[in-house]
Amino acid sequence: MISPPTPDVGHARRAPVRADPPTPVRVVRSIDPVLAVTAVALTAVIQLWLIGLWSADPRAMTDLGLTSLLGWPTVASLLVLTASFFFALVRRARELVLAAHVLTLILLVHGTPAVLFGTLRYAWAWKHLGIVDYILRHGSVDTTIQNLGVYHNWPGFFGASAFLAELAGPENLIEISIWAPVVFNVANLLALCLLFRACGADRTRTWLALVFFFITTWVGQDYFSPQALGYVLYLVLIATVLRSFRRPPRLLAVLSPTRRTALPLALVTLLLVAIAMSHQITPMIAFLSLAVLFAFRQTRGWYLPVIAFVAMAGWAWTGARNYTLTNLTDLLAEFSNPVANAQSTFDKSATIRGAQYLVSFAGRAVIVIVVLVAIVGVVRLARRRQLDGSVLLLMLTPGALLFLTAFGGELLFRVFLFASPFLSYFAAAALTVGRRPGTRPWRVALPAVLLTSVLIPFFLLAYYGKDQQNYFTPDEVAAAQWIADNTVPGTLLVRANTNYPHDFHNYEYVRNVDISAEDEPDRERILADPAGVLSHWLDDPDHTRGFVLITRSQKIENDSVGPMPPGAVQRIEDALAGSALFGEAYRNGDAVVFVLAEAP
Amino acid sequence: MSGKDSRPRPLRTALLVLVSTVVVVVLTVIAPAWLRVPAVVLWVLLVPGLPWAVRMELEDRGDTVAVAVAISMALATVVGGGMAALGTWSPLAAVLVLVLAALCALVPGPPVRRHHDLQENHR
Repeated sequence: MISPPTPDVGHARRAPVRADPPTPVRVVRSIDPVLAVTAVALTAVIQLWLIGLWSADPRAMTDLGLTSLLGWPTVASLLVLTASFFFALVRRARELVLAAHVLTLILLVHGTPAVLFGTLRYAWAWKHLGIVDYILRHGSVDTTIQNLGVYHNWPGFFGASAFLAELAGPENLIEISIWAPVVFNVANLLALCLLFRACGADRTRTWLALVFFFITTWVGQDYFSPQALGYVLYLVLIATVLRSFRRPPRLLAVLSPTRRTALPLALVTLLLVAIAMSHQITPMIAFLSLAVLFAFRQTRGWYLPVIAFVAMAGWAWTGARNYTLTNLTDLLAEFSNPVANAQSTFDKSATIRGAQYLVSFAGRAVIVIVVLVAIVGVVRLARRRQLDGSVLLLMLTPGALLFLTAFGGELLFRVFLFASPFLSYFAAAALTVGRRPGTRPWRVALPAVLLTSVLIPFFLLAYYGKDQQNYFTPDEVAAAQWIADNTVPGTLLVRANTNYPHDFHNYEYVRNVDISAEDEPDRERILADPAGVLSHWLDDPDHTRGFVLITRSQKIENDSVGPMPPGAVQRIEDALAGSALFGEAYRNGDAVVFVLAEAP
Repeated sequence: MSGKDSRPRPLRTALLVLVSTVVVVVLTVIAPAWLRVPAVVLWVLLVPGLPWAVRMELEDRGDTVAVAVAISMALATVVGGGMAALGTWSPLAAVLVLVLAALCALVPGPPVRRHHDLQENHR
């Protein structure tokens, strides 16, 4: 930087009377070195990532998923990103600079499937499109419908998506849903900033916690789904409660005037109602969190858990009455059964094969590492009497869900998901607490860099590890579209399993039967004589039309996680193709639709 | 993420809401998908909640955006889900309800007491 010249006072005193007009001082602003390093680094990060995946073919994924396509340039890209982030953190760069790093991470991790696959990832996301499609065609939901009735009973997310689709054009809905993970994660970033600040985290702890969150939360609930929406709303809800309803220390409570809480209370109520209309499990965790915070005297306002309960129970008994009444027995059976509810998650991974063991191990390793580091954070904070009881309670409360529901065998994932922000907070605290004023910043950064370097490979394996199953080729989408276009009310659709782009259009016309969902003796009967058994099913006069759909991704899922032996779906396809009982109604490179052959 | 806060300017915020709504409605009719989709998504995710978030007078711009996004998402959920549940589907009415909900934040009310104001009182 060129400094402005200092005036020579003594010389000025002796100066002649004639004074020259003051010369304009030319100040050249130097470029902030951290900003310059960031700009260069992030450009390199994106270029390396693009080089690494430029010619990648998603069809070439092995059973390690998208991880199998990541070469050395993508590894280098992540190393540069990590180095640049910690450089910016220790040099106390502006928060926008730090945010640029986390946004780049989100874009790389969650934008890559969108760009590389070009089709919507996850079979479940396609099913969610089907509910939006139903609303667009009917202008309402049908809470008594049998197939996917739960979504009709909690229509908040689907109604909002249908509204968005009306404005953006229904033909663009798939494109919107492809990019939903990026949008939801950016929203999570904003919400988590708010939350960590509300937890009292300083700048370093906030950004460390943010990075830990985005490299540990691999459970993949950020796709086009009600839970992704509910999660953003939950984070802002908790942040608002911690900011506006936290109980002040006793002395401060005497001195402080009553805080105005009308606006925050209105916000909390709105968020709770939106959550209650959208999802089943998020309202439970919201209610539990608010109740625990109040019960342990962390927050004021007895009415907060009451509002949460009224919103949750009110919707369950009004808007979702049909589903609640029909499934009350099942819901009560899961109540107070924590071991069985937890076991249901492990049962889901009991049939995995091959490299999926490694993927499952990676996911569990991430959880174990972050939990251990978080425990260190809790202990270090407690020793220094800096432990925030609210944050600790919020980390532990999701565990209570084990007493309430099994949630279709996904409960442990959800428990981790809801504990994750607070685990990340304590993990960051483990590395930042107790810093003396003179501590060199690298003494904080080095352990964080090491931890990040260990977590990222496990995270990528856990997050991308199932993408061989989750990716659908354009040919598979075309076959699914053919089915959707050729169904009429009363159509029977037999499929190997649900892993294909299913139920996204005219879904209520179809009765789906999955071979994988049959009992084992029935599956064995089908495998012994596929054409004979399936022709009998399709011949049922109760159905107006009958199709058997076999796709590439159905085969991949069965070969990876069962339940039938590897190659079983291919054997079914071969048997139908060679049978005189069946004809092909549609075929492309990745899918085939069989119908009963017409009688000669 | 950071930035100095600014006191709410109701007229400016009202103009922002109304002009952005008109622009988005026009874009839904004439614009190609590459322009229409991001504009609509941005509007739905930000505009309805922005006046309320500004009114909360948070100390950080990033926090204001976070709250604006959450309020916008929640409003779209309640309005869209409510219409679907009640069988009263009308996207135009939904836009009007969201704009009205946004403009309600501009009705004058008691000033928000900020965190740092409270700290001043404690000293």
